[in-house]
Amino acid sequence: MIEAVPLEWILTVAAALFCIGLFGALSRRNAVGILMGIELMLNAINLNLVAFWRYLSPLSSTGPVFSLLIITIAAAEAAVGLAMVIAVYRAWQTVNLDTVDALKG
Amino acid sequence: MPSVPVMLLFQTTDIPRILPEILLTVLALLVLGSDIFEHWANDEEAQRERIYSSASLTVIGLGLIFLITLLQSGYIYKLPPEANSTTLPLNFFINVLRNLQSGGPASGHTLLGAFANDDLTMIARLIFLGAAFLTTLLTVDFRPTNAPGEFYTLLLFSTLGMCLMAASTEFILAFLAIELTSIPLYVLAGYFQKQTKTAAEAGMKYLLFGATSSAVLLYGISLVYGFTANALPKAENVNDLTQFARIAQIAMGNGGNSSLLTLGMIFIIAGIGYKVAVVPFHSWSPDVYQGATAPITAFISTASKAAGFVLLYRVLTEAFPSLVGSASLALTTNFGGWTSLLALIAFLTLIWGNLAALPQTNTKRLLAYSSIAHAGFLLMGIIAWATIQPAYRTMGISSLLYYLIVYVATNIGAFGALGVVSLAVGGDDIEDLNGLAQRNLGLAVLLAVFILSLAGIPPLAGFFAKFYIFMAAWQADATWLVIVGVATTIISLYYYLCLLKAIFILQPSSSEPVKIPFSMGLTLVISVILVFLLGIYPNVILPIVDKVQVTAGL
Amino acid sequence: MFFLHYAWLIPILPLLSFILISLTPIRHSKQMSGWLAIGLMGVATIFALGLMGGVTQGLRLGEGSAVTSAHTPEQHAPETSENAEGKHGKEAFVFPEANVVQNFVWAPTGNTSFTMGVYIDPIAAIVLVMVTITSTCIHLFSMGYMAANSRQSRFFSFISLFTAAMLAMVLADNLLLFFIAWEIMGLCSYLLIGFLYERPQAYRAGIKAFITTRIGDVLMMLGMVYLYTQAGSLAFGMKDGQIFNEAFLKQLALGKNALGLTHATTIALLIFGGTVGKSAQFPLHVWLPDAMEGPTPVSALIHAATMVSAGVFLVGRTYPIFTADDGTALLVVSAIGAFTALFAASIAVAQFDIKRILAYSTLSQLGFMVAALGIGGWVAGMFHLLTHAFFKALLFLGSGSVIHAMEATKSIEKIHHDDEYAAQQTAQDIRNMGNLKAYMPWTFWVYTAGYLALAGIFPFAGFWSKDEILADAQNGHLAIYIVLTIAAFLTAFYMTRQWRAVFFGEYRGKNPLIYVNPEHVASDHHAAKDHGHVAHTDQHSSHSDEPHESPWTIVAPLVVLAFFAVVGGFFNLPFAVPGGHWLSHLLGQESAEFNFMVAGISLLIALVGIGAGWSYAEVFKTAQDKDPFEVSQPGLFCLLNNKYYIDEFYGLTVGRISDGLALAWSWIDSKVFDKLLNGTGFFTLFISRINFIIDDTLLNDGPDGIGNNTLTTGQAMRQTQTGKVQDYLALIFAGVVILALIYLYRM
Repeated sequence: MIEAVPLEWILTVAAALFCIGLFGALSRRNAVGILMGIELMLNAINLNLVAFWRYLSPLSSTGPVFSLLIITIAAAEAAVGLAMVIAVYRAWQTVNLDTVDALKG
Repeated sequence: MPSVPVMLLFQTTDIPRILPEILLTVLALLVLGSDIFEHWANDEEAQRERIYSSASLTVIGLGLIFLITLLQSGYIYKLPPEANSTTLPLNFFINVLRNLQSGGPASGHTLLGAFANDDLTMIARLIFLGAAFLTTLLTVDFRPTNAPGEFYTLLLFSTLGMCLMAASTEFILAFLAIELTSIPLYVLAGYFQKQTKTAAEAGMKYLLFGATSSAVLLYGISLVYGFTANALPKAENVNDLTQFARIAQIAMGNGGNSSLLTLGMIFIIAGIGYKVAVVPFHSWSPDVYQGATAPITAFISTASKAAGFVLLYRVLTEAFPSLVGSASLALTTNFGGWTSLLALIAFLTLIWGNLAALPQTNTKRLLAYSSIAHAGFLLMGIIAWATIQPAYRTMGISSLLYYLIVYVATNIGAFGALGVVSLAVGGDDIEDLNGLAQRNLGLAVLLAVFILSLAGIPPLAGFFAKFYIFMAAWQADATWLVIVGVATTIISLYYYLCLLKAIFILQPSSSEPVKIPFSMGLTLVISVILVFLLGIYPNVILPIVDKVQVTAGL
Repeated sequence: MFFLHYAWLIPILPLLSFILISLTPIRHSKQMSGWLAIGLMGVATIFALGLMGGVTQGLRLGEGSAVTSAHTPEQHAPETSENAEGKHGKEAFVFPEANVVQNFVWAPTGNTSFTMGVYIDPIAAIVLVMVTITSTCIHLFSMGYMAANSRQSRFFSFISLFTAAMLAMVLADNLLLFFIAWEIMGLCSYLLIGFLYERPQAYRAGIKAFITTRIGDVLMMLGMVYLYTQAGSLAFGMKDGQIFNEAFLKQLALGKNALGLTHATTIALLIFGGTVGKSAQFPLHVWLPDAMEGPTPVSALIHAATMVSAGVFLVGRTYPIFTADDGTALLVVSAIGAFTALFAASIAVAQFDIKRILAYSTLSQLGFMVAALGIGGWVAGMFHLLTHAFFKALLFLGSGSVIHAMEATKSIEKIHHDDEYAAQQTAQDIRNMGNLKAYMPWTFWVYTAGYLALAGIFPFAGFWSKDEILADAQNGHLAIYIVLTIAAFLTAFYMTRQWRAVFFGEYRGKNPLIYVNPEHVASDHHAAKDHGHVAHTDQHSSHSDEPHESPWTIVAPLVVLAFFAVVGGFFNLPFAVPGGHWLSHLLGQESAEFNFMVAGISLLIALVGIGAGWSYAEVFKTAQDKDPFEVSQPGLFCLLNNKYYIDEFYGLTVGRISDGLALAWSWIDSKVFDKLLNGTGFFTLFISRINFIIDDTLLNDGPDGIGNNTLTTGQAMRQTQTGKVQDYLALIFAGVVILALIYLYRM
């Protein structure tokens, strides 16, 4: 296999993607924005897994299978997350999570 | 490291080995389906009927599964191999039991390298099933929901996820099990109540925290996967790269000191740290405990935490035995390994949990911080791995399991009693407990027993559990941590005694007696019996938890 | 030896008081936070004294951490004397061997690893003693002086952090740690100058100081990077792979870069850039006089005794690099130093503000030190650094005592209710003082000691150290010598002018010359109270017309400092008597012999300056009198009074250019980089979130209560549960990162 792109580059991109997702999750006020940030982090992990698989053990199937499962779980999580956003909106009339802080201390 | 026994194919004889899980799935689907045939109406009578039927189906089902699992485990009665009978009914039962117990705990046996069927799994299953049983019993009268079918199904699926979590010896299954546990719990915590502000908030926070923690966990797993994939020749066709034993084997062969592996391990500890709510991954728990209804809080704080601990133990001891170190925190000498990391976390957790509990005014929140502190004690059982003596390591895991059992019984009892109070009084602040002794002396005594057990007062179970786990930590040279533990126990007395003061000394706002609904009372009685029994006669379950043997050389 | 082993505790103690004051409920009590800071500083002083005791006995504590007393300094001195005795710049400068070297691995860098730790040689030990003593005195002074400020606890926490950074800098075993501490000092300086942030003048001065010194810091960082690329290390020391290694220095002196300069010269000049910023040398001197907007203890500690001399210390620390080649760098150093000495002294002549006069005097004296280093007088420079720290701190604190008394008089109190800033400026104007020796005898006597030391009168401290500089200069650097002698004359002149105007003559404060505040906004907020006027409300309910002596917490530190201002010079007597050349021997160098001609000339010049100043200051009869100099030479006086219009010049040139650049940049920014840059906001945001948790919860609305019992700790912990889910998420990552760091650095 001709490795035009070194593994390290892909891992760096994945790490950067993770950090961007983290940035989103920490900086967005909107609950949906935070969920999107988390999705981005999960995608970074998928990239990691697939890259490790392709470059390091291309004959096994662990990496892609794992990332498929992660995609599935991410979908489930997003579904529950959006339902929760609706619940928050019904109760609070807002999805701005900075204002959702009745429980504290 | 001996070669890893891997069953490549799933066989028919494996079915009894996962019988509890199969039964749980069947029960969950049954509950979901049966709800359709109920009378759906908006009047209260019809709703109560619906909830009652779903709940009783779940309770009975869980009770049966618990009994079957208990029989299967052979902890009460192990069928002797030569047992035989010619009389027909007896012969039939003997054969059923024999087939059942053939799927009982077998050390070192894993299904497809992913599912351990050992004593640890079995004991953990019993803990989860018991916790789920008691929780469901609490909900029969508490009625936290208008959609009982979904509610109990989610509860059962979450229990199933916990069983898988405890049994998993492979990262993909572990991850799926964590999600299977967590996602239903998010919904249970936040969605089923009458759309109150706090419930929605709790659910949202739980979800976001959990999802972020999963991302951290997964990032760690991907790093570990990268490590194992890198260590093997590229041409090898292997599909066991995420199995704990395989990782340990490769790490051992590699000198066990790769920064990729170490970093991955830290991420994984952080990811599981959220499930067990240790500092600094604890911050969701007070909010969620307060926002969710009492039975769900009881379930989250006990079963979910227990599952997290069993998984944490499995991951650390089976996947990362090469990174074990000492329990010392002295940076210069022999700090290192996950034992030191856990010792640090345990230290923070003990201090933080106990101190932050002091100023609380909400009982559920107070117990939330108290259960954070208990997580600190529980970590000591895993830290006991710092010693290399197998006997002491065994003591560590058996003390951990013992503590978990006691903690589950006590905490469900405590939350149940609080649930009774909040059902009658309508709030769960400490003030609402004022003068409980004058309104219902029995309930007050029960609650006091649970609180004293949490505080670790002899002869209640909490005392022996703490004592046993301190011993294990002491053997592992975590003396300083034991001292911190004892000191924080004394601090914790303060807030536990505040609760008792409210219950027994302060004057109630109204003298109307508090009634205990039947099924909740049943839960409390079962719990209190366990608390006394395990405290006075710990040998009831000590031989069982001692079955989880740690063999040398692992 | 105990003190040698635990030298690293010296900066930790003030750091501890910073942490305790800012993070625990102690901050609610001014008294407790003040005494805590003073107490810990006192302990640090004991440690520093013990350490110096060990160092003077020649005890050594190597990396093997066994105490040996193999070499005494006396034995060591002859070895190095050849190097120091020969012509400066020709031979490499050699430090005495370090007494304590302790370090730990800080960060792996490729094959090697970067270590951090302490490196104590005699000069570090002595500077430590100086810093701890002055700092303790100033802490004590602040106890009385800042008593009425509502943010006194915060003041103590900042000043403790500053002291910790200064001590860490002195102890640093490598240039990076040095730089880190240096930057923390800059930050504290900024925070403390702008401490009374309700006043626009104060925060503007803070920003000006920060930015101006940053210009120098950037140069210094470039120098560090350059040095690192050459040496692969930034560790002080003469061993292989350390930056004072002889072979390495030779190599530095030989290699040339694209500019045609040797590596050594380039690095030395870049590092000197840091000194120019921090020690306020021309042309980056503009921040120091403005920094006097800060509370007086700050001026004394940071802008007279310690931080500004850090620049000089930096040159002293990296001196082997300066001397590695032919001395081009040293020439620049001496020129800038001498020019600053004269330039600042001439400005001081035409100032009226008591603190500003002292500020320009500080500039001038720093110029002396820098010039001394530039002409090879390493010991003389360091000696002057030490004596100057004591007597200048004394003078500043004395001026603080004077201002304190002036502000409590009726006529100024009147202005105070209307405009605090104007009141303070009026109280600082020497034209409004006079005859204070009658009202404040203690302050008068200690101030006189400081004044004589600064003017260079035998046998006060300043005489010996200044004389040593002049003796070094006279030996082959005639131009420098002449410039410095004129500066010394001016010093005696303006100090006498000030001294006489303040303490003698008629008291003119009953009808003061009132400062007109151009930015005064008529409002009655009194938050910006500079310091303590407990007297107003408590002790004297009826204000007197005349000033009064200050309380003991203000006077006691003055007396301690006055002691050192008097005897400080005896540590390096230039005679072959027992105890003579003590400092030089300890530092393993040879210093100039006593030169009667130089000493005579300088003493004479000082006396002439004093005479001139005395007769000159007589003219002030009322506060409204004009300065005689202003009458005779209005143009020149105006030029000097306005500091040669340097600020205005900078405003028109550098300011304009940077405005233009900023405009251009904002255009590019908005068009091109906007989205790119947003990404980098992540880190800041993350930090700020953590910071938010700490700041908003621990610092601001923590619980009341004086005792630090467990309940209140529990309350504080409870406050971290902010209820904001994103704070929790940030906590996860902070936890992971911290655990990973702990784990990875476990060795």
